[in-house]
Amino acid sequence: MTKKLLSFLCIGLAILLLDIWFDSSNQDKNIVLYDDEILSLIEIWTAQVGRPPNEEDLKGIINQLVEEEILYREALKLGLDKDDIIIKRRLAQKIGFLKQEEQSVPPTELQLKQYFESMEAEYFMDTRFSFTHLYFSKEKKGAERALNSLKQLRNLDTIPDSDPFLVGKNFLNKTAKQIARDFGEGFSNNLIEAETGRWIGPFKSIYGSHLVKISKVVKARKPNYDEVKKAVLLDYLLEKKQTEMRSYIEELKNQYDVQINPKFNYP
Amino acid sequence: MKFTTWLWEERNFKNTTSGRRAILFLFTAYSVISSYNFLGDEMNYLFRNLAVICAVFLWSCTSPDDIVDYSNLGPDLPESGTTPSYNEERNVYFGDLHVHTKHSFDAYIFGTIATPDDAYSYAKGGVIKHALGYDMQLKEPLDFYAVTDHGFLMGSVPGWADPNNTREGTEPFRNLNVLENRTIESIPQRGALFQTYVRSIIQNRSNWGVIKYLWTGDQAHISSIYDVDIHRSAWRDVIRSAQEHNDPGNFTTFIAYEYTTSSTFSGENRGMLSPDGTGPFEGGNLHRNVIFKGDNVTVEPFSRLDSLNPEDLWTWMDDLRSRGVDTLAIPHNSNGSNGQMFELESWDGYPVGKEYAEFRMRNEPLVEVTQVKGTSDTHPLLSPNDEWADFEIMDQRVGGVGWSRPFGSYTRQAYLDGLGLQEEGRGNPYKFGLVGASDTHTGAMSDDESNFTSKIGILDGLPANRGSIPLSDEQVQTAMANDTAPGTRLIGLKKIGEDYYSDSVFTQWSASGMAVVWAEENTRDSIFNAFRRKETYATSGTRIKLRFFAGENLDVSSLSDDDLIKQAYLKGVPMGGDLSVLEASPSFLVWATRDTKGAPLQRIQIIKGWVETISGKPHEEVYDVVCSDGLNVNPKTNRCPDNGARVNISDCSISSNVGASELKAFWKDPDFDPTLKAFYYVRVLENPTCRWSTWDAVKNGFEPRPDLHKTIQERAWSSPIWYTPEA
Repeated sequence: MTKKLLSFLCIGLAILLLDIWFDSSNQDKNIVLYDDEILSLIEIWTAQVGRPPNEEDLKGIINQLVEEEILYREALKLGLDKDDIIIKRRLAQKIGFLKQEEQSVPPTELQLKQYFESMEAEYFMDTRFSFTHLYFSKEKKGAERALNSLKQLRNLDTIPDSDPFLVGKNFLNKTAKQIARDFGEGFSNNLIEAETGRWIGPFKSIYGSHLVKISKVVKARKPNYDEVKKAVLLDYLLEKKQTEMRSYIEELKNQYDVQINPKFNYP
Repeated sequence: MKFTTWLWEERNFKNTTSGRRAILFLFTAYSVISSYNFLGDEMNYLFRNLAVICAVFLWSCTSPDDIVDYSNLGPDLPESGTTPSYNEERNVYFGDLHVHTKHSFDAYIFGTIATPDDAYSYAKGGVIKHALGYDMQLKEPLDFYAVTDHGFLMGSVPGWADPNNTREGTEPFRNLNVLENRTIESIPQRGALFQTYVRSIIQNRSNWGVIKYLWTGDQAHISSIYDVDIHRSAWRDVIRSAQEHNDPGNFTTFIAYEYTTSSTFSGENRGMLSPDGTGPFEGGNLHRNVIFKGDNVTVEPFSRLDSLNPEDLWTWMDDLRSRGVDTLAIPHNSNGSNGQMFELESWDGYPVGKEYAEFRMRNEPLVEVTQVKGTSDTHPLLSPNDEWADFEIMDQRVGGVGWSRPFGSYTRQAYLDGLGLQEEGRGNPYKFGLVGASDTHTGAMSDDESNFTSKIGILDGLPANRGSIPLSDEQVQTAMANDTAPGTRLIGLKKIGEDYYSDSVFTQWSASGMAVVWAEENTRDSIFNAFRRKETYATSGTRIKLRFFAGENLDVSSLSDDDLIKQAYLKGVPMGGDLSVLEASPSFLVWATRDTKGAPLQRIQIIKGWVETISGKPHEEVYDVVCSDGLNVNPKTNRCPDNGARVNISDCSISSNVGASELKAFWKDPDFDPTLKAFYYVRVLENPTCRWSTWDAVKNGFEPRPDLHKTIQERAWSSPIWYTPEA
């Protein structure tokens, strides 16, 4: 029994020594550079520098690659990869990147349309107003003048004297937010249900009173799928990647048994 | 001659070993010959000159300034004049041309991980995270934005922090900005890295390192941990992001970066080490932002590693312009330049002349007059008769230690000096327009006093750390414990009454500012052309809208005419323009409207500067031109009476029903003399409001800090209009 165990240990030791000996002598002393590898380095270099590398540059690039590979192998031999939190993190990151870069099947038109329908609110387009206005400064009895001017406009159809407005008279395709930048908050509320093609008001802004003639209102609406196709595709792919990554991790988690000291005390 | 052909053909031969070795050989030959006088005086002289000429020639060929066209990354550009909001009478656009992201060494080191993409989405109204984890969002989106990371060491610190980096010497940076480390507690570590480590790296440009670089081609040798590949890929990220976010007609971006140079002394001692041996990094600030007009940019930005001399930057820009690439540079923080931004002599100490004036104006038509690190309009010592001169003064050198000399550091004095030089027939190098900017290092410009996030991430992202409210007992103890190492001390202590406050320059920082342009449409071309015309103004962060025109034939009865602006463009010149040879006194049209979300306007002023003939003696005068609330300017004092606007310090509320939504007037200079050179610019003042430091205190339930201004008057400064009598 003891003999058997002893010979077993001896043979084991011999194999181990042989293994170490071969490992340190012949194996792993070959470095093979494949064309693809060099071509991709050239590509990166060209993109960064803005011109293809010349012969000298190329020597440098390849030399660096070789040296890196040698140092990497030596480091592995010394076991420097063990218990290194940075390497751990990097590998975890890498598998994440790999997963993200996996070419998933391109979505069909139908899938995209369904996604678009389900995310409707994201693509909603704000109401846009086109209008012209007459401005009556509040420093110059604006409210009163505006009221009189409206009468004049409606009865005589002549343009009354108003004050020039610093950013102009005509506004094209503006959203409520953009209107607020020039007239103050809430001014566009006056325009929402208003009549078009006719002088209306007076409406108060932060600067005074205004008579407004709306030429066009493009109501807030759900856009056609075709109008936002490009954005939908980008959003769809982004979300899909995130959900795939999540389910991949969850799947793996099920295969692992995690143990934590139940008495762990958070200091 | 194979060698010479190769020299001519291989422009970028710094990257070839033989090119570098040739430089090295000449360098060595030069050193040897100049130190041993064995060839006799004449031969020595000849050799020295030859060597210098060759070396200069070689160096001039070696900048990595090849031009790359990045239009493929940008949007399809519309024909000029075809976006829907095109307006011949020009639209007003608000923006910021000075924004740092994670690629800047001093942003990343203080916890900023916002990318250029984050910065642009913030400018468009999006929400991004501060380094300390809270949300930041603008009250109103901006119309244009340019990410301007530091050209030198661009991308380096994030590169050193990368867990995959194995470069020796970068270990202290590894994993610097992982979530667990983005805390107030990490400040001493970050402070130490910034104060001692980065500086020593920057300054460690030993000659031996340069020689090693020339021999091997690895720039990393110059400083032990610099990496040219990381540098270029960061610059490419800045470019890509600007290209992708540029949206003609709606939102304009510019490809840009900051040229971050400084100098300890002026004249012949320029570039010498300062007495404490810390080198030129400690000196007066000479920073500029370089803005590219279009899609064509260089492989690397021209940085302080290429030259500390701003005139070399202009030469580089001139060269680019001759190759079809237009750029302009905008200096900033002249207030922290220790008197060096607006000197009367060149870098090498020669008196400036006409050629210098043209050289400078061609490349630097604008100056940033206000930003987070204070306002550079004027200083109480320079303008003792201007009651509003004491506005957000930041009196320290930027990036250096000690007071900054006011003389030569402020724009109004530069305008006067420029006229004086012109009077002497030496041209005017200081005929620049004005813009404001934020200089944020978080990706997010912070111009709202009531919601200030300051500038540099973790260091000043909370009220106690920027000195607006007292420190907690615990913070005081920590600060006292760390107070022993002067090199690493970023935050000192100041005892006021029973309370300890953080004692730093942060208390002098401002929730400022904004660049505003009048341009036909919101496109790169149109806005860049407005920069060149100087049809720009600066604000302290408020969105005041301001028109300013001057001309002999402006019809002063037309103030209420519908085509007021059309006529003004036709018969006069807008801000940034020139008037010459006038018989009669010109009329000035000033017109401002308030920020819809800010305080009402209090008054519009015109600031006039002029010089006497022959002696060139400078004068300045501040005229109130129009007052709010129907008040009239006192013609003896040129001042509006007090309109009675007050601020309630306990809750920051302001007087209602005082102040104007709009101020508008024609003005004639009562002291106009057609024989004197003069400039005129507008300053619009709002009613007083709480300063950010008061807002911080109010929101956190403290009294405002006693040694700080409690209120400010937000304002706008126009580019001047110059009057030149023809000689």
